[in-house]
Amino acid sequence: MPRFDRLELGPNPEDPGRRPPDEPAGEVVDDQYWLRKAAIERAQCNYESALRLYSRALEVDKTQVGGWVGQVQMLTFLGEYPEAELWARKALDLFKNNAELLAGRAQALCRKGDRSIARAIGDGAMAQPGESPFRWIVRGELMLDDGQDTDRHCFDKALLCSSDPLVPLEIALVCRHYGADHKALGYLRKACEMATDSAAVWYQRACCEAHLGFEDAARRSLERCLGLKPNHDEARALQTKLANRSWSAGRFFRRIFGK
Amino acid sequence: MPGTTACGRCSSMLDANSVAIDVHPPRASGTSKQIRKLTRGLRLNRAGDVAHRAHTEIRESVRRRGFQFPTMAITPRMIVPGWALIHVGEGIRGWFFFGLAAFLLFLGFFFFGSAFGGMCLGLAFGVHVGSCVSFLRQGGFATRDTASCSLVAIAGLLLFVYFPGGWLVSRFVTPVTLDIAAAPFANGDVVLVNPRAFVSSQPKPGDITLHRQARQGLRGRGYEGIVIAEGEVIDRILAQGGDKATWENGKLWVNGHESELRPLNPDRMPDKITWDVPPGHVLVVPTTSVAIDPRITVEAWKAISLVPTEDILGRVYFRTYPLSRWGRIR
Repeated sequence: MPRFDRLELGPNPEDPGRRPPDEPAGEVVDDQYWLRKAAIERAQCNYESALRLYSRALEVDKTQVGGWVGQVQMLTFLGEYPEAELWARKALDLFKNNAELLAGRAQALCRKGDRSIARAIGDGAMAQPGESPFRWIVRGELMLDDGQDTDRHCFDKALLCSSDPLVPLEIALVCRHYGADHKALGYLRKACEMATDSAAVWYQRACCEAHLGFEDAARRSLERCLGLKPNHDEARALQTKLANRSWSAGRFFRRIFGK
Repeated sequence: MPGTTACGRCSSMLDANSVAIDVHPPRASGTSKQIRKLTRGLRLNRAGDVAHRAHTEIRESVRRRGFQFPTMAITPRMIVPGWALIHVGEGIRGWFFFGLAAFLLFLGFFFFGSAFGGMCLGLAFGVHVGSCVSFLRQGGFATRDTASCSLVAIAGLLLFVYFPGGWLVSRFVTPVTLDIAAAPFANGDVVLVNPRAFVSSQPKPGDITLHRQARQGLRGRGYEGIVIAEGEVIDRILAQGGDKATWENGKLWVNGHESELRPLNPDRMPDKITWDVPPGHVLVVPTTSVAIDPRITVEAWKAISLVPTEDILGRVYFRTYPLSRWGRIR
């Protein structure tokens, strides 16, 4: 990777009219613009880029709680749980008892292993007024982590709250984090129905199917993914891996015994 | 209200946009990501949760029995027998436990390594546990809970006092019981060895050491037999690597000068013998070993007296048993 690839340079003071290449000329570049771009990147599972874009949104307007929540969620998706928890705490200093931030902190704590505190904070998030899919997703995650079968009800509530295809996709990612690929596959199918043109969703579905041993289905999902985005490197690599995969006794028994 | 900087309902900051706040989150380094990835499968991060649950369960169980935990200011005093009792005003009982434990510990260390010494140390441990149980029962444990209270005290003392203390002492003092020995030792003698004496320094002439005697076949003088010498031997270092030593008429000469040093049992030395001590070796004549027949040939004496420095196990400095020969080994 080039060394200065991610260097973000501000507008040139000598030429105020000139904009950076990612800022379109005809659109107002405000916090909402960066939040929209972050949401697009997030839907494509480009969490690193989405995190940067959320930060840019906050550079413009620090009072955008959506930017803070997005950052916490992205850090969690990137596997940086202690950092996500720290960042959620910092954001909660600004936005006391914000339900989304509380849920984000509970998720990070749960993944860190502090289950008891995570559960308490998750309950606190649910007690706040209003409703959002993220809170239900986190509640479902806490139950999934606890080994309770009631996680399905929470995830269903999250799906009822929003028709965004990101919701089933992120539920599936939560399930996959806890090794519940059989649960994740159902949500990924739903996400595919809602966003048939999303390469990222098809790729996640292919990964899940490949892991469960449904290789033909995985190949088909990968074909769809590559049809939508021919330069998807991870999908190409998985396709090659599946094509070169020979018979394995371990996989055979795993498939029989479901592990 | 104009001028208000925090929300009256939820106390969120209202002027966040004007406050200098870093909006770029902290990131994990590559190494920490790798470590987290490796430990995730091991579920090590759940250990804290399990410990928290266990702690809560124990605390609740004890609380149900109506027990008052000692405060943090008193608990460390249980390290010394009787101290916690004296601190809470049980002076007579506290001093009794302290005196008895001190007396037994003194006897245990006086005869350290012997069966009697071990017995005294065991009794001292028992008195220490007794003092802890006596103190804990002040908190409200019922008589039926004495056994579990004792187990907790035993576990705590072993874990925090006796195992670390024993480990530390064994770094510098290792008792060795002599099963078969020649003069000046006797069967059953207990000597103390410092196994770390030569970690930072080299053994020098005059030191009494315990060394490993390599397996050797020694030809006898005046009879057709081969004596097998092997085992651990205690004796004095007479010369070091590079020296030329001669024993003649009961006197030792090192590099042409008469030396004051003598082996521990000079009576078993041959009449005349000369050694050239190679580098990395020391001269220790095994005069206290019963495995060595004094009638072996001069060549055999030479072979068994040159000891590689890595075969030296430690310095022998004290005899703790029997009482009649108790004292420093010179």
